[in-house]
Amino acid sequence: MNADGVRPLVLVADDDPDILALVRFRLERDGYEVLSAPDGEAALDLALARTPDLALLDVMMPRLDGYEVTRRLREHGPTTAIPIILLTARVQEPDVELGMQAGADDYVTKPFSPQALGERVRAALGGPP
Amino acid sequence: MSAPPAPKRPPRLVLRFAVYSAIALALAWAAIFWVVRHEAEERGQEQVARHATDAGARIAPSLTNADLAGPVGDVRRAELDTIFERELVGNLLRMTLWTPGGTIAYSTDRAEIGDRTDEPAGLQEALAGRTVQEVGSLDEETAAPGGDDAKAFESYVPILTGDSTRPAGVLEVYEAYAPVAAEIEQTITSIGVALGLALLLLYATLFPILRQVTRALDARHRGLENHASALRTALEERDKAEVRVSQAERNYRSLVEQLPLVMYITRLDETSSCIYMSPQIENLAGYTPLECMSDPEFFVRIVHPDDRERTLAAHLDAYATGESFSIKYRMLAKDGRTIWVHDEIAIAKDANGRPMHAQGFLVDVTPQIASQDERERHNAELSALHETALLLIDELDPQKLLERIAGQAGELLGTEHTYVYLRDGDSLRVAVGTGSFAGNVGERIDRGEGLAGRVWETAQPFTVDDYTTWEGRLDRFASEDLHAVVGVPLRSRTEVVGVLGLAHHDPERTFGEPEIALLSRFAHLASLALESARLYASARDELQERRRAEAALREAEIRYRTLVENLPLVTYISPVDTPVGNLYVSPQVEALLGFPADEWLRNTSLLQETVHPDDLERVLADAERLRRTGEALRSEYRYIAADGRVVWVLDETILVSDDQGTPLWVQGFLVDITESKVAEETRARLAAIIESSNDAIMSASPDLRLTSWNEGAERMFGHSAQEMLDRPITVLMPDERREEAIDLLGTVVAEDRVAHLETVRQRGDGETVHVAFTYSPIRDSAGKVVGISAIGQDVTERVRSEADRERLLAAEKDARTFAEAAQRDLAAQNERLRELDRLKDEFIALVSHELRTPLTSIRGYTELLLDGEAGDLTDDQRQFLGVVERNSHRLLHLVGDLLFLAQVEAGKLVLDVGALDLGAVASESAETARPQAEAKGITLTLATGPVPLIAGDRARIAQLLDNLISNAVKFTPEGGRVDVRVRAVKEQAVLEVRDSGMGIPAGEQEFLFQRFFRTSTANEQAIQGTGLGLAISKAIVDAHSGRITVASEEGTGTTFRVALPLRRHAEVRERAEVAS
Repeated sequence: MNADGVRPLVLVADDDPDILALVRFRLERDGYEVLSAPDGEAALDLALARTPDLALLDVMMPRLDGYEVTRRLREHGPTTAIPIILLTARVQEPDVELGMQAGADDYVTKPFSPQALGERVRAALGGPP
Repeated sequence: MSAPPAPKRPPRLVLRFAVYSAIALALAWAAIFWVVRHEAEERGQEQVARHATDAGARIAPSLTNADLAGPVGDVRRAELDTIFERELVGNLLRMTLWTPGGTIAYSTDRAEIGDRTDEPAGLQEALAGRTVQEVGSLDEETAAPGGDDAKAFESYVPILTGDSTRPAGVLEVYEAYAPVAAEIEQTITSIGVALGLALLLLYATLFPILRQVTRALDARHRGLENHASALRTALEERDKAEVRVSQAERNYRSLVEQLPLVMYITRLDETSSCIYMSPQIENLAGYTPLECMSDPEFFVRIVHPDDRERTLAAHLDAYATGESFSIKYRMLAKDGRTIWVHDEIAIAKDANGRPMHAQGFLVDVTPQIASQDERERHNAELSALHETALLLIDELDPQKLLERIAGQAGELLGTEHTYVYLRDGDSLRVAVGTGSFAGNVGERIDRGEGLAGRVWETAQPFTVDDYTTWEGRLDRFASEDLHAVVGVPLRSRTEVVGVLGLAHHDPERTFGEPEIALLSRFAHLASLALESARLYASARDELQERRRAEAALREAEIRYRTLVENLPLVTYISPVDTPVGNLYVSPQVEALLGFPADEWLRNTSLLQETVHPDDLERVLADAERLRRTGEALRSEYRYIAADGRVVWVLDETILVSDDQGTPLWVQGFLVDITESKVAEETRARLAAIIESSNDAIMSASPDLRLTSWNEGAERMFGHSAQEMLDRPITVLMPDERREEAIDLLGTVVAEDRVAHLETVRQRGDGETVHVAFTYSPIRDSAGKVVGISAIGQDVTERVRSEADRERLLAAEKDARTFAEAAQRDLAAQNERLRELDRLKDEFIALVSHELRTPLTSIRGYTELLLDGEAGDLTDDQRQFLGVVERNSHRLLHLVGDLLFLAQVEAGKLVLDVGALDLGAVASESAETARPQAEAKGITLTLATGPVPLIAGDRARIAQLLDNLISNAVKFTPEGGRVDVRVRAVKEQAVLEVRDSGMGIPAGEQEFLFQRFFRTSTANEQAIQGTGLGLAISKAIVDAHSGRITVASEEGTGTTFRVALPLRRHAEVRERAEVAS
């Protein structure tokens, strides 16, 4: 909970529903309000509609990949500055580089420890929820 | 002041005057005496004659002829005694009667009667009728008593008896002389007394005046004597000095420059800057006169610092007052010696008495300073020299000096009529004339002519008392007024160079010995002064000439330097004694070789450094030979300029010697011939190419005569160059081809273009040769076509194999078609391979993604469960979930290993290389493996020595070490040991992992690093593993240019050894510095 008593809103997008559920469970347990999106387009719409405090985006998603969503969020006023963390199964250097160029703040490689992910989110938002 | 030689006494005028006047008076008295006596005697004679005549007249009547016939008898004698007694009165002493025969007939002195005489003169005259009177003498016996003088007047008178006209005898009468003598004595005595008184009076009046005159003359003589002796001394000194030097050199130099002193002239400025300095300064102090004259501070510089202040103060004081002075001080010689000098300074003044410059001389008095006696003696000499020198330099203008000489000579001898002749070629010319000679200036006389000519001829003084009556006079000089004239020679050593003369208008005055002697000495002095003045004048002229010459020289030097330094070449002057080094190098050298001229002077090894190494030995040998033999040198060699260019120079050098052949210096010039040298080389190269070419290369003039013919042409056409040169190029052409070729060549010349022609030519041996010609116009530098070049290639072979070639071409075409098809296949295949490669990459990415995604869920949810997020777990649940977690980890690891190998095989392994401490990485890996080891009771040790950094990818090296250490732990039985060791061996960092495991069978060791290979033991003992670890390890080591080896013994253990190259950090940095 932040100072207003409002829980920080985190957008999570992944085309794998198991992973989506895993992340959602962990973050809600950690005290965040979580928006889930099964693909890039949905993630973008949700983000533009709700302006989350942070976005966790899978890279390889149908319709729009994580890089593209990141780029569009950065073009849109309210989401220009929100922390964006990419989730990726790609561990090669060029992939990481692409994400950073698109405007992501951090990335987490799959598979990841849910607890470690929660710590990364907390660090990106500057403190506990 | 030195004691002059004892002066010759001047004339003792007083004494002379006294003696002369006394003699004169005595003579006068004698004359008077003589006159008086003569007159008295005449009077006495006349008186005796009168007495005799009277007595004769009175006595005659009393005489008879008998009385006169012979000696009278006693009777008659008595009678006659009576007669004569009367007559014998007064001073008459005796009377005698002579017979005409000369017998004394009667005499008042009886004893005489009868005596005869031998023709007494007076008797004969008397017998002739005349009366004779004379002074005779009486016989002693008959002399008058008391008459100490037997002298007597006697007279003979004829005696006439009767009326006879013939004397019958002669009467001789004697009269006493004494009274007359007494009278004379009385007269003479009184006159003598008068004269004596007059003489005394004269003495009394004239004596003081004479004394005064004498003293004046005396003083003047003494002064002149002093001068003369001093000059004599100086002259002797100088003569001695001159004898030592060349006999020929009898000009100023020998006087001034051989005097044992240094003469100089300085300005009256604060530093006494030098206008003239005689060359003896070099002997005295080692400086050249030019050095002295060129440095205004010279005088200040050479005076000893301890003496400088007082010496300069004394000079400035003298310059202000204009007074001459002398001073002693120490001088610093060029070689550092200290010299005591005596400096005599006189201030020269102009006509208005204003000081103009200082002149003087320096004498080395160092030894004198050391010895007191010596110094005093020297001072005396010096004073004499001083006076001489001052006199010598007192009047420098010869004409003024002549006027002064004339004036002084006139003053000396009290006349205003003076003249000076000077030698002018073969005659004498009047240079100065005063008084009556004023109008004669410029007139000439010859040797021996007139008075001066005679003086010249005889070289002796000459005087005449009255020129107007002198037989040798010259009318143009003679005048009524001119009386005594004197001339004395002016000499230069022995030679007469002129005549100094004086004259009197007063006829009473003449030039006596003393005056002539005086004038001669004066002339001697004047000669010296005159010569000195002349020498000074010539010295001054010479000095001016030298200055002019020096100025001209400087001007010339500037002119030549400007010229030399603007020439398009480098000139230089080098010393004779060494083959390297320079005295002068003109500034053009900097443009030529890049080193400025002053560096060439300063750096004597620059020649060795800059001459091309291949030429250096020759250049130095040439330089040495030039200096040894003096042969002019002309050589061409190379320099390496400062910027590395190779510069060819032409070096012309000569050895410059003086008149005696002594080498002075070496001079020469360098001309940049690089361009022509390069051109020459290019030409030579081209010529060589042409000569060695297989093609026939020739050239022809526009009228098609051959001008060159190379060996290729000789080979191709079988004619030598000798045969072909200057022959028409058409001789090579078969008749039917000639026209075609000539036309083509015409267009080459006319249209100035290149033409090609393949044609046939006749060889010398008659064979035909096919030639492909290229004809090109030859242009001169102005672009005008001046000839044709022809390059011919023998294409006989080619023409003959034309058919073969066609066939080959077809075959080649087929082959090419085939090759192109193959090429296309290959390209398609490559494209497919590339596609496959891309697909493989995509596959790897996909596999990676598709495997990782499910693993994410497996591991994520397992973690949630283990974290108790789904409620508390039983021990069994926790244990089972642990198995899931471990196996998911193995799967992940396998995925990672597969991906890694895929990347390596695709050549896509990218290393993030940085400086790496292998020991630290090993330590971390050991700690990672420790729990695993401890679980098995294995002793894990780590030994790390000092190891330099390696260059490596930290993550990959860590992966490598993890693999090796975990492998070792894995294959070591419980209770065993694993030793990890890191050290530096030579240029490598070496990691060794030794275990006490089961070992690897020797037959399997070679497959150990293959993918998916698992040892039989591992399989038998069911030790987990994929068989990828060592393959990955080897890939990492290979990527780091390292080497991995294994040594194993079954049952004992295995050692993996990894050697990685050191980073060579220092070397890399060093290179970076060199590059910058």
